Amino acid sequence: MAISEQEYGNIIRYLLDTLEQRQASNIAEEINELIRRGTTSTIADSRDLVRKNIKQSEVGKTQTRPLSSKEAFEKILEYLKKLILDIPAYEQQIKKTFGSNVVWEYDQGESNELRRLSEGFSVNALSYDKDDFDKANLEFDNLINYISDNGDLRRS
Amino acid sequence: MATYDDLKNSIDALLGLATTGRQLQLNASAREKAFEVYVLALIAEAINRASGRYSIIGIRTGPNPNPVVFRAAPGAIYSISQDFAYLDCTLNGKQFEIHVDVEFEGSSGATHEMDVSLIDKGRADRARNGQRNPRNLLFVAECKFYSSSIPSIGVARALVGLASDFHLEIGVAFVSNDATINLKNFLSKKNRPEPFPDLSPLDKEAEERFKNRIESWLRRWASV
Repeated sequence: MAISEQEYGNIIRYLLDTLEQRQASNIAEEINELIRRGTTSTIADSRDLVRKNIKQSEVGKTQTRPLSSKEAFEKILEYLKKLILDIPAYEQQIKKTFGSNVVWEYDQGESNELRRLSEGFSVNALSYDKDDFDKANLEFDNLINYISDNGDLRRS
Repeated sequence: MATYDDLKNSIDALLGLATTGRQLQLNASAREKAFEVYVLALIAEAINRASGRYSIIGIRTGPNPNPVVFRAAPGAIYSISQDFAYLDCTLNGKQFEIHVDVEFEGSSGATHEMDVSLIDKGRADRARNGQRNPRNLLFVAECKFYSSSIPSIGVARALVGLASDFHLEIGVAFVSNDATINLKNFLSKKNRPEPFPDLSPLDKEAEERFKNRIESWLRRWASV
């Protein structure tokens, strides 16, 4: 039995609730924005015209439509991978080139508005830890496998 | 066969990791800044590959600053309010600098903020001494770390406009961790900024493609 749209919707709600509980409401907001934005596709050729029953004049235009719950969950995983795997991997490259003591600071001559937008931070804030990185990688592999085999999601 | 609980358990395991908790607290600006310096680090490797040399300079303390300070927001090349770092480079007799988040003045007189920029050393010195934004830019990399929104064609159009305000001898690169197909199509045309829309430390092929292209641009420019 294929995973239903409702079940994907439930998983997304669970993920958003968990993020809120872990004081990551900014991430939950970004995920909501990602879902709201929907998906775009460009009408490319005559096969699209036949399949989608649309006019020749529409070719080349970009259409936006809402995401299905499954598509939304897939996009959320892509998004979380960038935050949880890419960013700590930046830390490795930055430390390799510039050493361990790297910081970002705002120019003291800048306006208060710019300071507010860009707080200083250290490269250690990117939080690379090999064990956690490997565990996170494994969990992403698991999640992608669960949804790519269109698996039978039964409540156990 | 996967169950609902398998999925839920994976999410719990992922979000329960101590480092994940810290990464999710990082704001969008910090992610962008980290991406820019990651790109700078790859360019530094490309300089070495081209048989060039670079050293890290702090504008106040000189070579090998500790800590290495990058800008958390765009600013003037001559600002000494922090010990901002840049790369001082040589390649086949050419001397140049690479900066992150520095402002330039285009031929139109407009001020542009460049994510990663390459400038002739003499011109950079003159801009610092004269307390003004430099006008001559050799190369720029526009860097976009995208998480919840994927870069669309408007970003690429803006970069084309920015590039037209300078005479860029080496090249222009659009570097991001994702992009829409529309943007990729727009940048696929000749004489547009070269797109690197999939740069990630987890994708070694994409990293190699970027470093090889930078190396080849530098070699051609410096006749190496």
